[in-house]
Amino acid sequence: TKPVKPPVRTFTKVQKQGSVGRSIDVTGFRNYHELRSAIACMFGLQGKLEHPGSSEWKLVYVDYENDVLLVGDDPWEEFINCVRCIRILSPSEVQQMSENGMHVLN
Amino acid sequence: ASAAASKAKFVKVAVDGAPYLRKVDLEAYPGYDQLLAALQDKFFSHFTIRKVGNEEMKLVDAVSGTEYVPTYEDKDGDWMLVGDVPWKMFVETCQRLRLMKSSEAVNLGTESS
Repeated sequence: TKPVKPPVRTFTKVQKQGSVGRSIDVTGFRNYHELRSAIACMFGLQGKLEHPGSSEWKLVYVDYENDVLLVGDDPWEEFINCVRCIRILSPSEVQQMSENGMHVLN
Repeated sequence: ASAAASKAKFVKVAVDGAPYLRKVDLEAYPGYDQLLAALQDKFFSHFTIRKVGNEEMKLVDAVSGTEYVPTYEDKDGDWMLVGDVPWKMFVETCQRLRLMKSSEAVNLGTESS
């Protein structure tokens, strides 16, 4: 069961609870680091998103199979092709989702 | 098998109760032990691997004590226990991984324990 070829979409929504959503063109970035820096800047989270291992903040995305995945595991090119929207999770949201399961995002 | 180094096979990894999924490149590992070690180190830092007997593998959350059984979805869409088939065959047929809570995996056939 191959995933369906995603429709061409230039802009991807970036959302964070309590903030106004933004739209970005992910193809305008060359790698994860550029993407992370830009998103951190947009939401005033400088230093919290750039180094995923050292922060409790998590950047996740929803792909075209409607699964919620951590940003950064895929090769960059693959990511660009399967990302549908991006969501910033605060430390408390991560905690809450661990307790309540993944339906919170869906 | 000699071309293994040049290709990649990324599959999703779901952990029951985890807030999001991860992805892992199966071609990056030479065998089951290394894959499970990677899941432990790279993705779930508070997990430890516990081997029950010689065959059955479990991942244990050291904080909560919850045990997880590694399962995978094969090309037929069936959920199977990880570890039965040779590694190369596993890499070819695995579409997706799920670390299932032991309490929900009772019907998977753990008679040996």
